[in-house]
Amino acid sequence: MTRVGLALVMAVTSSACWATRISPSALTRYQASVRTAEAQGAQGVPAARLHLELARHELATAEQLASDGDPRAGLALACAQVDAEVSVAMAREALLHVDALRAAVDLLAIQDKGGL
Amino acid sequence: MKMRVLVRIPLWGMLGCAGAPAQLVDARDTYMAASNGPSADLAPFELRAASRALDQANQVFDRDGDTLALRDYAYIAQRRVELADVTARSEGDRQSIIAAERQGVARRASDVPFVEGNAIMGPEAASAESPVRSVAEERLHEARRELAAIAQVKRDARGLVITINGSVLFAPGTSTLLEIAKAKLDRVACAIEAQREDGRMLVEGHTDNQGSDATRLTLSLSRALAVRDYLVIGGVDGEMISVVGVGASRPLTDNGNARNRANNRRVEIIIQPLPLTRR
Repeated sequence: MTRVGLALVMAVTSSACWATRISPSALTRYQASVRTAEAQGAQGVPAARLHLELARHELATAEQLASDGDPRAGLALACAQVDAEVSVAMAREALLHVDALRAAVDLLAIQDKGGL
Repeated sequence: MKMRVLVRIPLWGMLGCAGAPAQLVDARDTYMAASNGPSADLAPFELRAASRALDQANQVFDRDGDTLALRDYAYIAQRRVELADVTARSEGDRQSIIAAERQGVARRASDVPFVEGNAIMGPEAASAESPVRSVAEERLHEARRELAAIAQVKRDARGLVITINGSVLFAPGTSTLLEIAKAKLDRVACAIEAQREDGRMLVEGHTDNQGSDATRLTLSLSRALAVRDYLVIGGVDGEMISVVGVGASRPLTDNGNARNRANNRRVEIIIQPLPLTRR
């Protein structure tokens, strides 16, 4: 193989790798969302847990696609990201909903019983 | 937003005839439902993000037809709509909490004349009408006016004492800050930062005489800590804040009736000047 041919092969190979590599910043963002979902108690909220599991499954798909050189890896990671965000939102909403119910009950209970 | 929806209906209708995959049709339907529901008002940013995701999916469909990538784009659009709906529900809950807390505070305030206002201002306030006032003085005055609107402010041997009634900050018997209290503490934090120079701060929690000594001390300390933590989140330097819970040991008045007990349940923020040797 001539030098030019070798350079061409290397260029094509490296550009293919570049195209299918998972963006580190997108991965970091995904990991942060998953951590937040866990911290917000997503495991204890069935709908939030489902989206967290979907997100993890989609990340595994993204990694597999990337290793296969499939350019859809980035899209799969975007799916994982949005599911992680939905999980965070659902976990937060569950907590807020409990707080809203509690506030309504507290309001009913405020008949000034005194105390602390 | 509603305008955009109206514009989109015929376009999507035509696309639907061209055989859009079920995922894209579902995403469009879900978006339509969301933009005509509470999300339009309660989660406009999230709905806009959903709209952008759906636009992207439609463009991919126009360009490439039904592909695996299109299904991913449609999936993302649908999830963005879901995110907007969940955010809208959260916002609805948040508004319910604030409304309930406001009603609760108003109810308690009707029994407690102490809750807001009644500021005892320092000598600087007496010169507030001076026609020539520096920017710094203006800022200080504004900060104190802000404080006076939400807490009692006085100066004594300990320093500048900002007293906030417990019923404004906490639900009875708890040390969890009410949502409405956070808004007030945000303003307190701004006002403190505006007028504090290099002094230290002491946050003191106080209760009435109900319950055991241990319970009162624990609760008063927990409440002081909750206020300290929130002020730190608001930008006040945590290193400069000390915290103490004194239970019922220093009542403002006797605990003989509910009104007096409510006055005794409080948090005091004391801004202490630095010793002269350190200035």
